[in-house]
Amino acid sequence: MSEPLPESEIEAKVLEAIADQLGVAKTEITRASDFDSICDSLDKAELMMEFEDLFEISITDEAATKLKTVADAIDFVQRTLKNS
Amino acid sequence: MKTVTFRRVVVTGIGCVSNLGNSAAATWAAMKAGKSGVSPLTSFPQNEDWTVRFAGEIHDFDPSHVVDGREQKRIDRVALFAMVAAHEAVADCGYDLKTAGDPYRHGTIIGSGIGGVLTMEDGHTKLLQTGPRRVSPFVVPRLMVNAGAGNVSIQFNLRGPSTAVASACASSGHAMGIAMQIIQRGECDVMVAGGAEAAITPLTLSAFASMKALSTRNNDPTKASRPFDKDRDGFVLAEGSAVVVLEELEHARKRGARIYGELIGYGATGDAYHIAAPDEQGSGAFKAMEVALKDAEVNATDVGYINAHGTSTPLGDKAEIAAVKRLFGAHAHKLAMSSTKSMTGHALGAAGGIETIPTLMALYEGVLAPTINLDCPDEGFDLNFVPNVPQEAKVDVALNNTFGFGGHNVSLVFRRYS
Repeated sequence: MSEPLPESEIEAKVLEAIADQLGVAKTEITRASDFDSICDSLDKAELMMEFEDLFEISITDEAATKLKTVADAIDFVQRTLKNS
Repeated sequence: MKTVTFRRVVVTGIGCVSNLGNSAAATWAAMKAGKSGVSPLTSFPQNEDWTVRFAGEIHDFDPSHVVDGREQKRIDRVALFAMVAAHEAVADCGYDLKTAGDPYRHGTIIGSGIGGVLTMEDGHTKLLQTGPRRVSPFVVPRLMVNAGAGNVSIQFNLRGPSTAVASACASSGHAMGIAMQIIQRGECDVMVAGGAEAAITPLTLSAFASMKALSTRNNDPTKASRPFDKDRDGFVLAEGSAVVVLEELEHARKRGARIYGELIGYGATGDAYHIAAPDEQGSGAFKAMEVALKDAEVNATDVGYINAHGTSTPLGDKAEIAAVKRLFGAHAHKLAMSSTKSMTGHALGAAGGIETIPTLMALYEGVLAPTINLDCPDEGFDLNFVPNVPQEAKVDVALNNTFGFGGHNVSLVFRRYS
């Protein structure tokens, strides 16, 4: 990847992917949203795959377990892209 | 030892998703009009290598009134069919299963021959393309053959027996028969029962074609399913679901429910002969009907209509007719027997459910659905197959036959309720 994505773009993409996956309006998902309260474990597993495809990154099961909120996921993606 | 007094079981709700219509009423209207639901295949691209290029597909299926967009992603087409049919059947019965009564006395049995094979194929393709870490966590809940029953139980808060039957094309028959017994024995008061299938996929279609089980009448799809006709050349793969609400008679009467008919007998046998071919004399089918009539405590001469399994295969139709003639003797020429698969094609595990609609309607409305495309009955096929146009008849007792690969035979007996 030549230019790293700006954080705002990562956030927009993550929110959109979650809203799309869960079939809810984008406005219903915020950085503070907790995965445990917006979806079940199967949705979350599918979302991790979605993020992997979307940002061409890898999210190990250990890493995924630590992503409790949407902000955690956004930060993780940003960190991973920066280090790649 | 426990003494069981059998209770009576009636049908108080019907629901159906078929290639003839997305409701029981629409399906029945199309059957009375002798319409075909078979059309050139659109589900996936095909080249000339495909020997079969048509099917009984359901076009424009939209389950959004029952399952929201998010849930739809988690549920295979086969279970969505079941949920939409169940939604209609439960609304039709007028009893709010979600809130009324004791949920532990409400159950469900939904049969399917193959289950979520669309998901199986897509999931496998994904596995080969992207490796094991990209396989969706929804693959298992989508593909499992009991997904229909599981989702329907959630849909209506059914906390009594909840299970699936997989006996190929006899699945719906077993589902309804076993559900009937559960109510008869007093375990439940209401059972949501039927079957679903959504197996018009590359793998399934090519495999049935390799068995030479399918019609190859590509130039005239609506004429391809022609049970009992001398030019029949195999069945037409179809999809769909039908679900009925079975209810204990007094439970239904107390609330003034509309009763389509009474389910009074269930006969099930195994051929123990060949995994995919019928015994030529139809002995398993014969015995299933005999057992069903005995279970129903009616005489063969009481039967006015049989909704045949009649798939339009050369051997299957022959065996079924042989069995009917042997069991009913001279009465075989007095009763009527039609195959509505001439219109719907063969929806495998859903077939027995879908065919319960015309069986019940023969009793409830006094109209027999036709066998279309019956231009010239095969040699010795000399029964009243209700050729091409419906017939009016007052029917007291009707049979619904379904037979499946594996040698599974089911005959259900319904009686007019008055």
